Amino acid sequence: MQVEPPELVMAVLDDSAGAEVLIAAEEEWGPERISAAKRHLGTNSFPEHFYFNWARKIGQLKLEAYRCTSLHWDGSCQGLMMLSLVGHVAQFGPDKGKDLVYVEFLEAAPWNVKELNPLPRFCHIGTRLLEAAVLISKDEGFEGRVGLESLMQSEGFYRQNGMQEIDPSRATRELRYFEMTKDRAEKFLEEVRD
Amino acid sequence: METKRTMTLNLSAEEMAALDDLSARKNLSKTAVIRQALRLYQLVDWRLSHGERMFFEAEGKVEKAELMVL
Repeated sequence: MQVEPPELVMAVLDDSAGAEVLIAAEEEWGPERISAAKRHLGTNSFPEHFYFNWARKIGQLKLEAYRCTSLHWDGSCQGLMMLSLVGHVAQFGPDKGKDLVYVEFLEAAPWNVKELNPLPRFCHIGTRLLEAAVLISKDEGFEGRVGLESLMQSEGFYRQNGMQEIDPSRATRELRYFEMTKDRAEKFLEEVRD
Repeated sequence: METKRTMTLNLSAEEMAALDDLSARKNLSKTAVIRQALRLYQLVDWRLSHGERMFFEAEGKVEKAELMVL
């Protein structure tokens, strides 16, 4: 959704974004990311994902294990997400041990992040990408299950979308792990489509 | 639209039983199991060819067991 003037716009979701999309996005986002980091140096808003570089991830696209999803409007990439389709299993409930889609990286374009800009261009980018991850999970036969490890600044987003979590102190991970279970995935899809 | 191609797979009874078992335990179609196996093999092969090594680590144990891939 466009923030100013507030209106719903029809963005384009590409669920198999190629190398050229990642490179083009990084060319646009990289300087904005650095500029935002400079503005927020020493504050709590300093972007934890400052080190992201989508151009460095193009090698992963050669492998069937990975898929990149991008969200575009008016020819410009507004959000990116890199998914791993293999090697990760559910940690919760009766589906523990079953395959899920794992979000390796998710980023809204810097101009869409309200913590970095007083007036972001678009909102709900993260929600639309998370929705795409759930739909890809269903398409793969994983029943909507999605897992990820979250940067601290993004934990609230995944929590408010009903994902279950594991405290990093209880696991071998450094970041807090979040998981969308099968049942939660169905409710989430209903909520975001309303 | 993505083009898909069909392949016939000849498996022994034991291999088919293993496929059936994975399919049931993971609640995936047999095609999805084969697809996952292919993705994993390609990923492992790629990482090994780039100089990485693959280990299994048991929770609570210090030592790791290296998985040798020929």
